[in-house]
Amino acid sequence: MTQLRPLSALIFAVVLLAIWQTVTMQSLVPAVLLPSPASIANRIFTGAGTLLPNAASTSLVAVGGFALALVAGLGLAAAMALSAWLTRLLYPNLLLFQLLPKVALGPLFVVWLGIGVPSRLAFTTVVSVFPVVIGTLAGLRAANPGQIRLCQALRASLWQIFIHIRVPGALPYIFAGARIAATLAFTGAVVGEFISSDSGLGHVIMNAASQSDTALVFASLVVLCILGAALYGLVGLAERFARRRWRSR
Amino acid sequence: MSRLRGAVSGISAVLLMLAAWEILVRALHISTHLLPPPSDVAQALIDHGDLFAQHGIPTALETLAGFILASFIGCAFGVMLFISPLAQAATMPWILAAQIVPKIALAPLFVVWLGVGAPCRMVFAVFIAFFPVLIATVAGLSATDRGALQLSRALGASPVQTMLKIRLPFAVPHLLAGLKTAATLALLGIVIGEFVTAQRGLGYLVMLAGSIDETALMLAAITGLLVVGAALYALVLLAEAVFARWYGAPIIVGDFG
Repeated sequence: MTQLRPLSALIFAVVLLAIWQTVTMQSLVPAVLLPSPASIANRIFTGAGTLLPNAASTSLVAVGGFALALVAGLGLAAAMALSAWLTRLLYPNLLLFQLLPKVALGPLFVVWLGIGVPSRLAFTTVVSVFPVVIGTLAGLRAANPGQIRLCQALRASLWQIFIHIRVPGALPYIFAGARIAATLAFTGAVVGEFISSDSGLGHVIMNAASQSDTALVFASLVVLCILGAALYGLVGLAERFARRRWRSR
Repeated sequence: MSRLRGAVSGISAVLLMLAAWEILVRALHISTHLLPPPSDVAQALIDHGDLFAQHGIPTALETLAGFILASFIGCAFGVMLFISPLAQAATMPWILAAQIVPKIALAPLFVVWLGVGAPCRMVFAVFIAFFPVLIATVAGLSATDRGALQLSRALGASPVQTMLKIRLPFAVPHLLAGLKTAATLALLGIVIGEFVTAQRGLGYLVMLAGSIDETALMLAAITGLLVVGAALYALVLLAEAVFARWYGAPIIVGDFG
């Protein structure tokens, strides 16, 4: 039974696709509303000329924004971990900000930076930075106080304690934040393209939807899912590598 | 006492931030078009009170409805997946995979399916928000204390009784965590819906203010969204407090074995 479990998920997907294909082939549902899986697969190949450059544009913004969010988030959290009053000043504001759907700030970035790539990069960074800050902050606080006291007694420098105790202890938390940030980065990039853009998969989706080219909408979504999963997978790989390197749990 | 002190320190931190914003904008002569000071934003909120009522109420109601629907649907599906291990094994990997892809991108598809009205935005919000509730329900039901289950079996409780009296109460802390995520996601879904359909609502107002270069109005609309988000979150906190009182707080899981 336990060996059958991963298989059952696969069977479920195949059956679902088969039903979807049959229903759409019998024209029970108009293709404008729900194109068949086969026609979506076909549209990915016929639309590759449109999809590829726009996927590259979306990936650039998402990956760039994610990288910036990592740098900014780690820096901010490290500063907050070092300074208690900075934490007391910033943390309540961060929590308040968490209640706001950050994507609502999209049009503000258009006012500030126009509709180009820099604007969407900045927006994506802001959308995805929060989980990194909160994860890193939680991680840096999670270090075992006994270990730190031992190191202090053994006259370890602040830097040694930071690099040998605090960072390995924080890694799982940092990567938990980074994984959320990776999914938010694509959300930010696509919402940025929804609001105003002349390139990217979000732009393709909006255009295709307005022209009732639903197959192209689905094709773009498939590409977007693959890209999102790829970035998530890369973060997972980086986590395995980092944990081995730092001998973290 | 410490909670009161925490609240005071939190509120003063927010006020300090607003004051710094106000002073910096005025001292550096930053164009109010780029970044209006908080006083301008407050002024816009007061001046356009009727506009905010007109656009804020639909957003708040749609978000609330989407959140409640997502909670019930997520909970119901969670219970069903918990009862049937086969269904859980078949669907759970896909549900978890759906968490890592940007579901927001499906918004235009919902417009194709359901038009540009409120139902479309609400269905989209439910679609976005119900996943964390479902996952939390399954996790919560699976995390029931072994000792409590053994005790209920020994006392001859029926499966339905065990579900209602043991498993569900034990699942509530997990469920509440899922509901907190769902509350923010429901608002996110409504706002994205308002962005792509653009007829009414605070999300529409943000877009409109952006297109007519009224940055103060835009920030006022964003403040409105923050209020809606905070109100919904407070509602979940209230539910948490009520539950804690019913079942005796704090809920100590793992105190039976």
